[in-house]
Amino acid sequence: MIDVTFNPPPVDWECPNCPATDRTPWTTPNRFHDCPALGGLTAPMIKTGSGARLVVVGREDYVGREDVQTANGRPVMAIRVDRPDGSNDLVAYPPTAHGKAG
Amino acid sequence: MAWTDSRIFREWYSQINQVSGTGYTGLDSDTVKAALFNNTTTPDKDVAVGSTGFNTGVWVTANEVTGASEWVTTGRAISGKTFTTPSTGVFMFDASDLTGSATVTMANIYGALVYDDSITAGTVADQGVCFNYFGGATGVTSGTYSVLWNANGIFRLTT
Repeated sequence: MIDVTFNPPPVDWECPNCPATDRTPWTTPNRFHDCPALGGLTAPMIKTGSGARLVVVGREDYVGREDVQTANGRPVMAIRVDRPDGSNDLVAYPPTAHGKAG
Repeated sequence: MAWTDSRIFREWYSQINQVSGTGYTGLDSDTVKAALFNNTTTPDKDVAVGSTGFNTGVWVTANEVTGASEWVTTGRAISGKTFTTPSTGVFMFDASDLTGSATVTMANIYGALVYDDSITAGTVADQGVCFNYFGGATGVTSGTYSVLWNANGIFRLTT
């Protein structure tokens, strides 16, 4: 008798805002893509059929001179992936720190 | 609100020109880390060098936000570091995004301290390079937490 181990099937991903889809091994914890619907922002994808939704969290503080990341021209702080069971993933988009010499 | 913006520490400019005895060999070869902090932290780009390091000044572990795994205390090491000059008079330091793979629960994360974990003496151990303000409170519940750096880099220096 030979023991055979079967891995779980691959994971299908989709973006709720654009047509992007992907398929990855079952061990992949997350997937990102440059979303045209968000102005090219690198955004997470959700597992197909998971019922999860993407929430774009706008910057909550004054932008001033901060070199922020944007989604369609609007300052974005994070994207949250909300799942039906109450859990979520979060992607933070820090601005670039600037300095001047001379 | 204690965080207001993202800056390079003034003392970092001094450090890169006076490295003797500090253990600093360059951001390319040193271990550089990013640690997460709450809003009790009040970042100051002009603070004395002894207060720019991880677990000094406002960057003490009491203000650090950690998870059960991956985002443990001292933060995560940055990889894929690049050093470019994207336009006239501009130097840019960038690195690979810190994508999350572990399930954690964390709250009240307002920004990150980027520091050199290879500096051990002379100035201050784990001397801070820069701090990046996310723009408000972020958190995660039983999920992954990722930090995606700006296409303009972790920091830019303009001459």
